[in-house]
Amino acid sequence: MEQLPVGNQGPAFRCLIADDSEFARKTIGKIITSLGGSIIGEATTGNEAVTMYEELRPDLVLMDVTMPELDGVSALRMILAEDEAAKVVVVSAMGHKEMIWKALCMGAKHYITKPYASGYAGMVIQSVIRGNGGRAV
Amino acid sequence: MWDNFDHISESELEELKKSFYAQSYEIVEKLQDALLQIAERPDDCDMLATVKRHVHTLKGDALSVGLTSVGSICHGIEDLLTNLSRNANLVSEPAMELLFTSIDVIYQFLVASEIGNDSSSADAIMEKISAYLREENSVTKVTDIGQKERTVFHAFTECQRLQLQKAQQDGRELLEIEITFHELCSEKNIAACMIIQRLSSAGEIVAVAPAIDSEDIETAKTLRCVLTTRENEGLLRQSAYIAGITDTLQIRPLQCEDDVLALEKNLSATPAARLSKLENELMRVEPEKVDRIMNLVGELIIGRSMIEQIARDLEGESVSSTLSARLFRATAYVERIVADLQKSAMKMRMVPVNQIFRRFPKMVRDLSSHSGKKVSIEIYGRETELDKKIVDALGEPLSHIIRNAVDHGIEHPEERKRSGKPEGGVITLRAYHEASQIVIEVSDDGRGVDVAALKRKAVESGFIDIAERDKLTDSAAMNLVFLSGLSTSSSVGETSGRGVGMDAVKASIQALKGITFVDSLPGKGTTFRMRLPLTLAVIKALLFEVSGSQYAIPISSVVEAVSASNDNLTTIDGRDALVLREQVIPVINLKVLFDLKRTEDHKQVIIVASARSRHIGLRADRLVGQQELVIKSVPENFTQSDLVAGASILGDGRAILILDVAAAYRKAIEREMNKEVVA
Repeated sequence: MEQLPVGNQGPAFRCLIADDSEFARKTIGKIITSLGGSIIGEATTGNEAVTMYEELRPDLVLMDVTMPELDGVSALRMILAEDEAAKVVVVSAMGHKEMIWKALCMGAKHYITKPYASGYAGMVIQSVIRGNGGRAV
Repeated sequence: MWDNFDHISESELEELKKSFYAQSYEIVEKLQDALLQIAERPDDCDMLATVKRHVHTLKGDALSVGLTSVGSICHGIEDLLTNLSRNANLVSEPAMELLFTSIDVIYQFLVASEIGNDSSSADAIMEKISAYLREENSVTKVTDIGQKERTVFHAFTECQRLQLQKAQQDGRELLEIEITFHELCSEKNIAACMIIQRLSSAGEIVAVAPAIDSEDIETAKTLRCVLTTRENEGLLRQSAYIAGITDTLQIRPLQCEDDVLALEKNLSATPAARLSKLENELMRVEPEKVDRIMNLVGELIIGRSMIEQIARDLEGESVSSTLSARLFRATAYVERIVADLQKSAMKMRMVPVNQIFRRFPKMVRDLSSHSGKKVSIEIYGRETELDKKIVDALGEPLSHIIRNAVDHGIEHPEERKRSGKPEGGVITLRAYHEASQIVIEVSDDGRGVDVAALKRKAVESGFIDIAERDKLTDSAAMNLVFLSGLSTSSSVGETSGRGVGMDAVKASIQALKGITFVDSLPGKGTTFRMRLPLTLAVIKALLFEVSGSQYAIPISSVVEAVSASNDNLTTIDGRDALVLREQVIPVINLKVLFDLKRTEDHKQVIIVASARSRHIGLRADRLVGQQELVIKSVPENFTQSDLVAGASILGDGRAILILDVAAAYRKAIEREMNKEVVA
């Protein structure tokens, strides 16, 4: 496995990004690496996200709520059925309140809405990584 | 009555009537509760307000259905209450009596009108009320019930005010929490929901501003919540601080009117407040509807098992492995939901035991004034929850035990004084969890059970012979109180003492799959302890196999299981019996009973079960294990359903029958008898 780059901002963590937009994956990826995390997988559909989660067991999943085949909320559901302690942050464009709320109730740890300021997203991600794994709601 | 309702259909009217009476009886009970509390604490102004509220509701309902007698009594009570609060009177004993009587009369009128007799006139009680008012102050017959009672919390809605008042009474802190949103936080209604959800695990949210479902929240810079809590500030801070949402956080006590007023403009009831446990906001659901959900959950479990079977079958086929893996995942997910659903449906059936406990203070009050004894009742664990069916069925046995305690247990004041006890006797009613069961305990500090007299009576009445008597230990002899027709009391009381009752108590607890114990110390008192399952919808069962089919019996009736051998099995009078620690236990061969194929009798087990306080052995091929079973009823014309207490579905979708041990025992005896006749 490649050496984890350790940033000066916090502990190393392994992250899975699930988003059907390549651009979105890249931008959030930059934030992850700047926080000292490594991207160990990129999924473009909900199904991929579930399969990759099982294989890779990342420390954190950034999950877009709208994805083809299987949406992010359903993928979240399956991931949590597999691993109750999974740390998932849902990412969504503005105006998907219901999806976000559903995800939080299901066990997502936090949410980020697009467009986001990278500093803000970083703060949210870091709080989840440091968090004790308790429920968001 | 019901004249105003000619525009609706017969069935709708029926439903309306049902709900009117159900609610009205409930109000009457609540009024009695409240009055009892006032009797204890006459200066409890809040309780008076509660009484007022209930009376007002009842008045409105009664008048709208045309039950004028009840309507006018309520009006009279309102006059009485207004008079009390205007004169800032503590509630005097005569006023209290009058209130109690009025409520009793209302109850009688309700009962009469429900069976179609609404000709009762309220004149007599109304006359009493106005006579009282005339005596109290020269100016009477005032009806300005609109007068507002003074309260600190008048800026809140009625519901919120009650929440706050109750919290204050319970010694909880009333706090206002002000949160500044992080400047980049978006979807603030979700952010607010997160904060509120987390705060509500630390306290009870009474109000939130701005309202979460309002437009204002998206542009709001701050969120304010009023909550009541016992938690410390640190924990509250921890709950309300969420990175990316909370910027700053202030917590301050909510005490004076000004704070409330300041909040008034933009505070509104939160969903949490709307869903708060205020009793008058609970929803009424017919039990059948909940049962139906339970049944459907059972069906769902079967459906899930079927899908899982498909997934398993697919594994061997040439279908892509990810597809079957996905199917497995999906079933795992469904399983989790089904389990949650089952739990939630079960929770719906749970009600606090207080639903029946609440009637006992009044009963003890009445009984003690009748008997000339001083008896008070202390109740603990009112909030303990049990299946509604069990709670409803507990009323009668508990009444029996409590009556018995007042009639026979507690001594007259002089006698108590002589034996160095306080004049007033105490009955303690307690409910608590023990393992996965509920224990309900009734104890009194009376004279206790006279074991010697009990034994003597039992011999006199022919229940046991002298030899048996001498073998009985004191604690075993105590169980004689449950024998039908046995009473040590020389006098027959108004309500108990005829020797009937305790056997009925035991039987009804047994019908609830519970066990009754009795414990007594001479001169110190008696304790009845009932151990009950949390619910009848699910039982812990022992599964066993007979001739290839699985059966179950409730674990509560299992005493032990032993493997069958030539050493412990014998035949007495042609009947199978098990010799266990010098005890002979009749054994039923389930294969014979169910007319099952007799397979080779290899190693078998005998399950020793108790039925009607006797032990019997059930001969089975092997034990399968313990499992929680969701009970489903069996159609009446089902084969041998007289032996079957219910059925259930196993995890793999197979049906399993739950054996009624007592019925099996009866049936076995019948068969033996028939055999003898034939022979």
